[in-house]
Amino acid sequence: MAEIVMAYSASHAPMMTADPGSAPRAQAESFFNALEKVRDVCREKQVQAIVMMTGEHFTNYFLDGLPQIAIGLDEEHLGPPEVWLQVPKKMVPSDPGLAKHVMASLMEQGQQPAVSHGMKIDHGFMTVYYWLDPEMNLPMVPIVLNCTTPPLMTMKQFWDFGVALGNAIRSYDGLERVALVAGGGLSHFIGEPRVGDIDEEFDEWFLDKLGRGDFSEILDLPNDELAEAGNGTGEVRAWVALAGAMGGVPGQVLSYQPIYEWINGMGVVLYEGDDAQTTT
Amino acid sequence: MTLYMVQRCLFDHLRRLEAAGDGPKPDIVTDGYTLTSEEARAVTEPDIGAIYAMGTHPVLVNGFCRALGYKRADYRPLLENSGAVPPRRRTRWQKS
Repeated sequence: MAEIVMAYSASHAPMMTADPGSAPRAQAESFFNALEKVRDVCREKQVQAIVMMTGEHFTNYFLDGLPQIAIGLDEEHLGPPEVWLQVPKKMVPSDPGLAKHVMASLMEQGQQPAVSHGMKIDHGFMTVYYWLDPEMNLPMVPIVLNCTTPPLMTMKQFWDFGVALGNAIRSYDGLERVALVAGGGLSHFIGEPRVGDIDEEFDEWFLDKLGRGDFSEILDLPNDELAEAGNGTGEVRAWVALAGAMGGVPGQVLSYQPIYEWINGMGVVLYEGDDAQTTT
Repeated sequence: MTLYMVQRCLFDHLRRLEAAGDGPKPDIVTDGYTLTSEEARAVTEPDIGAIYAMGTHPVLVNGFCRALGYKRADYRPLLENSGAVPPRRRTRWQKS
């Protein structure tokens, strides 16, 4: 059976690839050094495929039919559609066996993700994935989450989804070493009067709780209160799902930088894999 | 229904721009969408504050502003002066 040998959550501000030099050097270095550490761990663990969750940005769906969760089931997915992202456009390989197994297992566990073919993988995936594998050869199963269009799933529902997703990955017998990745967050405001703001107090509160494995308040957080931290901040639902998949163990906060030039709280949290948790 | 039509109009426009690539940028099309005269004015003028105030999804507002070449500093005041700034409430993580 597959093990989740590592997991991490990372912010996916488009400017991190579109115009990385616009950020203060020390802040950018802190964030990118964290992503490099994650890349090193991925290579060390000889990850065979990743499952990645991120928010939907009307890249694949619109208001006429917007699933709360959708899984890309193809053998490869094209991305990024944003020509300005400074990430080469490529058909990124997936692992359709893993994708179909995850889909079926989630359904058996009471989750109801949508089937998706022809899924495009936008900056939500590609900014983080490109840093993980600049050659873009590592198979990636993409999962998009509705994080911006109410009514939204709650944090607790995404935690439960994450628990089921972890079970699904671990019950797959076609691979041995899988990584789970969440892209999005931390706090940011887009297309509204507070555009450009960063809620540093939220980011620090949230990361502190992830670092201690304390989810009691996070899982009780009402959607309207979370929205006060920014209308893009709801993408931390992917981070919560990932934490659920990893059993709520404390994560290691590798970096946090409020980068105003990128209009985003930028963070990276790394989780040890199943192998570490069974040997300690 | 009309708010959906405004958003559909903007969404389709953004997709046309994406498809145009480096070629000539098409003008926004309002024919075929059920828009009030005020909605049609807002999207063609364009009036970003009005588009935001009528409840347009912020992802579309963001994309439309980006397509117009607006920087954040250009369109933040338009939204701040839209008359639709939501009230802020205290949160559990707020220290100040």
